[in-house]
Amino acid sequence: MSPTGERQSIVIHLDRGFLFFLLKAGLVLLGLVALAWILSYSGMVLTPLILSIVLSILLNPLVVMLERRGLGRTIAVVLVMLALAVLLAVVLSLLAPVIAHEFKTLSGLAQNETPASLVAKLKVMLHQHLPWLKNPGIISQILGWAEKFIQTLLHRSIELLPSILPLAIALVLIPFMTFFLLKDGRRLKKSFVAMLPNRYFEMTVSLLHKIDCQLGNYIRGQLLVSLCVGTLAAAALALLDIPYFLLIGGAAGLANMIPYFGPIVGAIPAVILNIVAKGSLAAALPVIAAFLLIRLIDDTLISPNILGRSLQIHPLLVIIVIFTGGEMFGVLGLLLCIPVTGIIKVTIQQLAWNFRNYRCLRGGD
Amino acid sequence: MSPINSLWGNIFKDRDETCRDTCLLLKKIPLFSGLRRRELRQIDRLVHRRQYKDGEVIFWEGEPGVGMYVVQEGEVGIYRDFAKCGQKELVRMRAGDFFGEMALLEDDCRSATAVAVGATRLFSLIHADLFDLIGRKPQLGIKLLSTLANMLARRLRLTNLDLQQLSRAALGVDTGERADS
Repeated sequence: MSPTGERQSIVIHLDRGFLFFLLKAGLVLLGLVALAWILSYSGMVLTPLILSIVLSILLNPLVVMLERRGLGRTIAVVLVMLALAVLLAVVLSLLAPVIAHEFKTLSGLAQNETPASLVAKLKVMLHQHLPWLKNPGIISQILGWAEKFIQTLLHRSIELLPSILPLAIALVLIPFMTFFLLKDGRRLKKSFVAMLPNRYFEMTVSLLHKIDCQLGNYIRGQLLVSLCVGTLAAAALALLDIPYFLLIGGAAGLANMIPYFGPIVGAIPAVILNIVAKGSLAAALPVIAAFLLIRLIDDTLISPNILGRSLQIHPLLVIIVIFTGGEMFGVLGLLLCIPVTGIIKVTIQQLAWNFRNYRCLRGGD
Repeated sequence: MSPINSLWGNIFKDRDETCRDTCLLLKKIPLFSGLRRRELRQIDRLVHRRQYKDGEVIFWEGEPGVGMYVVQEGEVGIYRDFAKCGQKELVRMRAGDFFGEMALLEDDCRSATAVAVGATRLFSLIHADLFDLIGRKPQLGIKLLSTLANMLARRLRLTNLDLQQLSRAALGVDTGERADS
């Protein structure tokens, strides 16, 4: 065969390999979408499963630490789970009275103040403090949006807890699933790899390891960042003598897991509550300043040191993913859409790398 | 035997027996021969068991290496330029031999292609799993790495001897040719 003919055959061969790869990747993607669709209808299992996976990723380093001290995996897992239960019990017993008090006063406030009355108060305050805002139409429009936002926020907050964590599931399913994921996670992975054809064995092992590393680091890092931001927010609000500082700090920490929108969503309840409690628009300023300072500390010190530059996702993709996740799966979708996008991104990157390096994906074997 | 004991026995029978069989097999492999029973059970949990047909490629030259293989049953041929015509077998691995061990120690591509000769059963020890084991069970990890280093040193010594013999032979041929001329 002439060199040109040889080159042509290689090109055709690569194209065919690539087409097969695309076909396979498409089928896998289709399967994953179908699985997600089925699972979205079985939220009772899906939610605890996702939370258990996150919890097991979070607890795994502790189990490994105990294993290093000579303990068996099962005993190490049992000890870590027991320690977590004790820690939760202690933290809850210490914080429960404060949180219960905050909830009680907050629900009292919600009963006394409807979103409409809150907005009416704000309207009066705006007219008093900002008399140069002559156009009442604009104010009414902005306040109309604010009323809608507060209403949504209140409804979502009320719906959030029972929809995410029915108590029975939280008490039984999550610890049960976390225990078995920690104890048998490696065996499950090995059983999955054992089912694969020989030609994909090395490639899949490499892929799983890289996803495991990057995702584990990302989730642990993200939760640590949220914990830091939540603690800082609660401390700052407590220093500023703002009511419900623990609840708002916790919510700000959780919301911080949603890029770009999280910090804003975390700050809004604090700003509104402080304006209403203090009865002055100026009360918003220290809260905004505190949240800006926390954001600065997070951007310059916390996130770069904990998360590094791993799993960077383009802002445009983040916005699309957040809206899609929120629309499809609600609050849980908002919180988990970025880690899930991270899994997909790492998988695609690794598949592309594997495609360049492994013959089986190029159709060479 | 009470029904509960019988049930208990049935649940755990297979796994215990499989583990015992694998531990016996692992003990015969030089890399694991110095390990105690408890440590062998750890290795048993770590290794992947793979079965290959005659002529099936285990890994290709130039692909990223993820770990080493130990021959449990059958044979494995190691080739350079396997895809090209007239390829030459470099070495034949038999039961108990291991290959691809460089992938355990360095993050580089495979230097040769490994092909199963006849129906072959292999144990595979993956680089990531080994380093995970070193993190969890440092003593066992060090024991494994030390055995691996010893075996590599022995191979290097043998290769050096071969090289010396080859160079001596080449020199002999050279001096013979000169004397003839």
